[in-house]
Amino acid sequence: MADEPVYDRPGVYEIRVKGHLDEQWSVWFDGLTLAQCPDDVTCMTGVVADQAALHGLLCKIRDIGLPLLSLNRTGEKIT
Amino acid sequence: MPSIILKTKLYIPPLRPEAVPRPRLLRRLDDGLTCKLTLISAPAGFGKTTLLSAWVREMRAAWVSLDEGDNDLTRFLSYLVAALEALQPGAGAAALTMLRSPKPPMESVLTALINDIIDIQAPFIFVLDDYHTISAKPVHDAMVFLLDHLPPPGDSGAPRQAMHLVIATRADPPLPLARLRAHGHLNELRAADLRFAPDEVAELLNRAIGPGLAAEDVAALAARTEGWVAGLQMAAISMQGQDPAHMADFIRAFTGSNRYVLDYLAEEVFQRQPESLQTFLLQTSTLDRLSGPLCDAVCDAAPHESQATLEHMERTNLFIVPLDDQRRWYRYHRLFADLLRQRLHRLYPAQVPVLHRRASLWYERNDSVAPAIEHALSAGDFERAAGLIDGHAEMLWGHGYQATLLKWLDALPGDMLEVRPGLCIYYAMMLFVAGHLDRAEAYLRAAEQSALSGEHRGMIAATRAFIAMYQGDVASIIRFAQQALAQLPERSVVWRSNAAVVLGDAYSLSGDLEAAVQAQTEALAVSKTIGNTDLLLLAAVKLCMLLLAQGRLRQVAELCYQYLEVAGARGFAQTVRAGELSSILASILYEWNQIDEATQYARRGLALAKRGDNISALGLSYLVLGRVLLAAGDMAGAVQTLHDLDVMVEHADLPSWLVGGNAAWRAQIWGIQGRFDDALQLFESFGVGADDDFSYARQDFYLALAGLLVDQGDPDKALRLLARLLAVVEGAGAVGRLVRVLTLQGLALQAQGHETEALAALGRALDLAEPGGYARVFIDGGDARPLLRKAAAHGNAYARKVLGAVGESEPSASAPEQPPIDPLSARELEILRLLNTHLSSAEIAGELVISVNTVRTHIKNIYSKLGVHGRTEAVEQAEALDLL
Repeated sequence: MADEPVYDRPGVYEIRVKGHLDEQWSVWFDGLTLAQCPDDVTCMTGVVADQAALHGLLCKIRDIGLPLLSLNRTGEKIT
Repeated sequence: MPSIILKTKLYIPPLRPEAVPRPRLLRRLDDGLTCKLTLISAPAGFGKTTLLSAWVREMRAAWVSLDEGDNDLTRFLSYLVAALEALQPGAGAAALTMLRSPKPPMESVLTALINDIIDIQAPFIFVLDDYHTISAKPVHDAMVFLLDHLPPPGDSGAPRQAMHLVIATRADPPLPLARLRAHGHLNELRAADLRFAPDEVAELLNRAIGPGLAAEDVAALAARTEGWVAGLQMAAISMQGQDPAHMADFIRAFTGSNRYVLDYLAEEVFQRQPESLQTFLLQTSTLDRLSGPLCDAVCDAAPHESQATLEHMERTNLFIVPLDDQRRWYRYHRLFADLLRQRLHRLYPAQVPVLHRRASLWYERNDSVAPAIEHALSAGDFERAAGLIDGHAEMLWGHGYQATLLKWLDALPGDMLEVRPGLCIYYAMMLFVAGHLDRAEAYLRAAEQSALSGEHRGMIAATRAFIAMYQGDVASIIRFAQQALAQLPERSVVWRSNAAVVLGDAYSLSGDLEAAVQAQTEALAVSKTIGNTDLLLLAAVKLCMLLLAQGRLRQVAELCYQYLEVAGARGFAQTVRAGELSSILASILYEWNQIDEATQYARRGLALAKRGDNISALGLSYLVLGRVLLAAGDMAGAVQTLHDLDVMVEHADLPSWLVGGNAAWRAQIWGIQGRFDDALQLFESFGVGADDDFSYARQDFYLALAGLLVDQGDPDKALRLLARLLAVVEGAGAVGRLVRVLTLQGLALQAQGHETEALAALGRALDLAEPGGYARVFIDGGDARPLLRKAAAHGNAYARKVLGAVGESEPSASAPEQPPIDPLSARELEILRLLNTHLSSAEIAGELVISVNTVRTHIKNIYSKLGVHGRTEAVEQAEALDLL
C-alpha cells in the first residue's frame, strides 16, 4: 500500500533516555534493543508499528519516570 | 445490583507521618486559591499526590483518583458526582440519575452539576489525581465546559467561589491552559518546583533512617536523584536498618553507578525482601487494587495470609497506599507497580494470564462486574469475558456505560461475537450510540444469521427503531418499536422503556395522540420499575404534554401535582424536569383563569428551566409565562418573552413544536399591537399560507394564522382555513386545538352575520371544553363573550360557567406602555456579558478572537439598543432586563 503516509507504516525508531537500562527491559519496551551509550544515556532502537504504538512506548517511558531526551525516525522497516 | 462506583477511588490518600512538610509549596497552593485551576504537572514519582493530600488535609475536599476506565465520560462524571455527594449529601443527585439514562444528555448533566457546585455554599477543593490516564476527547471537552462555566473565584457579587479545581497529572492536559494562564486563572506547580531542595532531602533521610548521615553523603544522594522523591524514598528504604558502614557502601555504589536511578534502587529494594514477599509482590502486581481476600485468591494463599502481608508492607512503607480507613483496600505506588510488573513479565510470562484469571473469578464472586471483565480480557480469556459481558450488558447500559461496553466488545475477537447474537446486538446498539451507523447495521445483520430468541428479535427491532428515529423515518420507528415491545420480555426494562419512549414520540409526530398516550403510559410504568427518577419524570412530562393536547386538563393537573411531589421527595425539586411540570401546570391554571397561581408556577417553571440547557423546557416556560403575564396586564413582560425566545432561536435548533408555538405567540402579540402586516409576513417567512395543505405537525402555525385572519376581519379566508384545520386536529384527537378552531369558526361566522351557525359551532366548542374546564380559550385572540352570552341566554349551562370564570377578566389586549428594546444579537449578548467583567476592550477582543475595532462597534450598538451611554449603565440596564 504505497499510498499510506510514511508514519502509518512500521519504521525504525531511536529513542534516547537518561540513565542506563539493561537489556532485561527489552520485553517491557515491546522488544526494542537497548544499548548503553556515553553520558548515562540509553538508546532504544527497533521497529515500531505505527503512531499509536509509538505513543504507547512514550507512555511507558513516562510512567516509569525515565527522562526522555530525543526521538528519531531513522528508517523504513527492512523487509 | 453489582456495584459500579468504587468508593476507594474517592478516598483521600492519608499522609504518612514521616512525610516531609513542604511549607514553601503549601503556600503556593494557598495563594493559588484565587485562580480557577491549579495544575500540578510533573513526571511519575515527584510527590504530587503526597503534596496534595498534605494540603487538603485540613480543608473541605472532594477527591477522585482517575484511571484508564474513566475515559468513559459517563463513568468519569459518575465519579465526579459521587465525590461531590461524599462531600455534601444530596449534591449531584439529579445529575447522577440523568447519567443513568441510556443516552445521557451530557450538557444537561454538566449544567446540573455546575448548578449543584454553585449551590454548595462552603468553599471546597476538588482534586482530580492522575489526570494523565485520560485520553478521551469527550472527557477533556467536559472539563473545558466545566472550567468555562464555573464562575471565577472572588467574582463580584458571589460571596466566595464554591469550588477550586486541582488537576494532578504526568502530562499537560489538552485544556485551554494558555488562555487560563493569560487571564491569571491558572496556578501551576511543575517538576522544577517539586524537586526536593537540599534541606528537604536532608529532612527526608533524617526522618527515614535517623540522623547520622554525613553531609557529603546527603549531598551525593541529592545530586544522584536530582531531588526526585521516588528515588530518595527507595534509597532510604534500601538503607533502613543498616549499620553506618553498609550505608556508606550503599551510597558509594549507588552514586557511582550509571544505571537508571529507579532500576538500580528497585533491584536493591526488591532483593532485600524475603523470598515469600518477593513472590507476593510479583503476583499481586497484576492488580490495580489489593485486598486481603483478593490477594489470597490471586496468590492461591491460605485465608487471611495476605491481610497480614499487606499490613506489614504498610508499616514498613513498602510503596503501598491505603485506600480506606479500615485496612481493607490498598494499592501499590504506581511507579513501583510498573517496576514489579516489568519484572513479572520478564521472569514469569506464563503466570500473567493465570493471575488475571484468578482475579477475574474473585471479582465475579464478589459482585464486581467491571473488574471481573477487565481481568478476563487481560487474561486473554475471551470466552469468560464474553459470558460476563453478555450477562451484565443491560445493567451496564442502564447505567449509561456505553463507551465502556463498546470498548470491551471491541476487545473481543470477531468470531466470539458471531456465535453470541446478544453481544452482537449490544455491539450494534453501542456502535449506533457512538455514531457508527453502517457498522451498527452490519452487526445487526450478523446477529440475524443466528437462531434467535424472541428477546433477541425484540432487541434487534428496538435498535432498528432507534436508528429510524435518528433518520426521522416515522413509519419505520412505529413498525420496529411495536415489534420490539411485542417481543421483549417484561424483565428487559431498559430496552422496553426506550422502545416505548421512541414509539410515543413517533405516534406524537404522526398525529396519533391516543396511540402516543398508550406508548408513553407504558414508558412511565416501566420507568417506575427501573427506579430512575430522571427517566420517570421525563416519561411523566411527555405523557402530560400528550394528555394536554388531548384536552384532558384535569388529569394532567393531577399528574403534575403528583409528580412534583415525587420530584420533591426524591431530591428532584430543583431540576429542569420539575420546571417542565410546573410550566405545564401553569398553562392549565391559566386556561382555568386562575392567574395568580398560574403566575407562581410559570415563574417557577422558568427559573428551573434556566438551570439547564434543555431548549424544550426553556421554550415552553417562556411561552406559558408570556401568556400569563399578558393576562395579568403586564404587556411589557409578555413582550420581553418574545426577545428571550429570539435569543434562544439564535443559539439552537428548536424542535418543530417550539418553532410553531413561538410564531403563534409572536403573531398574537403583534395582532394586539395592530401589526397585522408584520404578522402575515412572519407566516410567509415560514412558508405558511391560508390556502396550503398541511399535516398535524404544523397545525400551530395555521391555527395562529386563522386567529389572525379572524381578528383582522377576513372571515371568508379564515373559514376556508378553519375547515382544513378542523379535519387535521379532529383526526389527531387534539381536543384543546379543536375547541379553539370551533371558537374561531363561531367568531368568523358571526362576523359574516350567520348567527345560528356561529352558535352551533360555539355550542360544539363548549361541549368539548366542559370536561377539561377550558375558559381562557374563549377570550384570548378574539373575544367570544358576546356569543357566549347568547349561548347562555339559550340555556347553555357551560357558557354561563365560562362567563362566570372569565366574565370580569379583560381579554388580553392592551397596548404596551413603552416600546420594547431592539433585540441584541448573539455576539452583542456575548460582549455584553464580558462588559460585566474587568476585561478591557482589547482583552475582550482577545477572548473572542476578533479585532478591537469590531468590539468597539458592537459596544456602540449595544449602548444604542439599550439606550445607555456607558459601560456601568449598560450592565445595570442589562441586569434589569435579565440579559446577563
